[in-house]
Amino acid sequence: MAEQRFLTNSVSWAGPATREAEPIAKGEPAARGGQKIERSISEPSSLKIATSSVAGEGQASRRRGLEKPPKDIAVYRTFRRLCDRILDELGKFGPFFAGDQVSDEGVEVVAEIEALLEELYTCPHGQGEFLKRVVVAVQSQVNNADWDRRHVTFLREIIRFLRVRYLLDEGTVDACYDLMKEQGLDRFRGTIGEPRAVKRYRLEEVDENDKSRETND
Amino acid sequence: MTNQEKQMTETSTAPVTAPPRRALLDTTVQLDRRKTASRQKKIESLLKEFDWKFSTGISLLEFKATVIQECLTIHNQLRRSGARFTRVRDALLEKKGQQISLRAHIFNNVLQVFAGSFDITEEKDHLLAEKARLLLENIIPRLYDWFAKESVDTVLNARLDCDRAKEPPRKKTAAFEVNIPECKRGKNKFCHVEEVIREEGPRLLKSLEPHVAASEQLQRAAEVFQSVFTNPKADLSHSNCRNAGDCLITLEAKGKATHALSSNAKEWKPLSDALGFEFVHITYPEEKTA
Repeated sequence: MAEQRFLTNSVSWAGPATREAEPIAKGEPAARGGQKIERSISEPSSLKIATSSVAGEGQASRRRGLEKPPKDIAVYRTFRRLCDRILDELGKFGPFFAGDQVSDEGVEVVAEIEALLEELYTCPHGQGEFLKRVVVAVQSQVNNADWDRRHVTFLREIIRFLRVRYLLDEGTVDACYDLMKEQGLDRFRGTIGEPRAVKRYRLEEVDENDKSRETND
Repeated sequence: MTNQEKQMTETSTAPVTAPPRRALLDTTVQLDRRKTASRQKKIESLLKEFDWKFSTGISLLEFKATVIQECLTIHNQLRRSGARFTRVRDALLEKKGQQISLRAHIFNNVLQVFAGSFDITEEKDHLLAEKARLLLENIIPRLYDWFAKESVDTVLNARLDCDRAKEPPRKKTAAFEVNIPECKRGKNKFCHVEEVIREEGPRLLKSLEPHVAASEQLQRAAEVFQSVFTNPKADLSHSNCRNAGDCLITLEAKGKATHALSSNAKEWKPLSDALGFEFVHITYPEEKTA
């Protein structure tokens, strides 16, 4: 349905774009069905069609589109789905607070969110490494931490902010750090700031020939 | 003196109230505010007793040359093609250097956040390296911004006007620009360091005379000052200024701060006495007994 709406709009549309129907990265010209659609970064909601469309070409384009949706739509859907799943999990924290801290029973939700964040890290949505930078920033706060209301609020706010972003840039990373600051979290946790960790890790050199390790496995 | 500094140094003309307490923070105090939660808590609790808190341009220069530089060094190694976290960590911790413990601190903190109980495969090692690099990329400019814009009420720099302190770290396509370029008068250096040393240095060195023999840092500072006294064309670079860092920091705050806070009593107590600050020695005795 979304693909049909998009493909129809790519021929005749001259109004504001909905984010779900925009497969083209802004600032880049794209060709579709013989038309060159140009868009500037400073005009997020307008669309100029540089060449006139031909009905036959448009129909052929729609047929091709139905068979194989552009990669960016699929990626964006994956991205949205992951964000929505994280928000769903965050909604389960209600009964899992002991005071301001997340209780032991809530660790199940914590583990699920940590796994979803790992999936989000590998999602190729957006240009460059901006999504990865946002995810590691989030992980620097929530990984190996005793979660409390601040972490849950921070996650909810950043994921809500992120899920409707089509264009990810330095501003997105800035917003993430601003939200950390608002919640009183240590922005430098995991680098200069020593994390208060649930479990302490260290690197240990392991002898590959150590037979006792095989027994324990 | 800037308007803000004037405002802060004027005492109240209202009915008798205590004059404002204005704290000058040493560079290590600034670093401690971010390093561990316990030190941060102790320092922030102490700072509540002061009406104003300052740092200085030279202190920001020192912060760039230590904390930010270590982050940059690690980042540069991690962004190399095929970088592996464990190998970069081993290579950088095997080198000798003044900031080696800070470097280890950063690597260990990254491990606490991104590691887990697993055997590190090549793939996981690459992933750790990538995440560490991206996180450092995020925080390097933010560390500078925190120091320069958030950490204190003002970074005093009107007297010395250090140019290197005013330059935030900038990222090019992959790497950050050179953190602290050499200072060249007329090209990238327009500061007043030599002028301040000639004006204030002789009196300060005279006050510090009884303490110089016992302190390598004060000896280095005295050498820098002497090189300026004896050479009318002396042209110091940032490394020279860092050698005289404590003296220059306190000179910048002379007449503005009422108290000086440092964990380094050996140099800062005599400097405070010489320049009219009340010295507040910051210690962490609970860490020694733990």
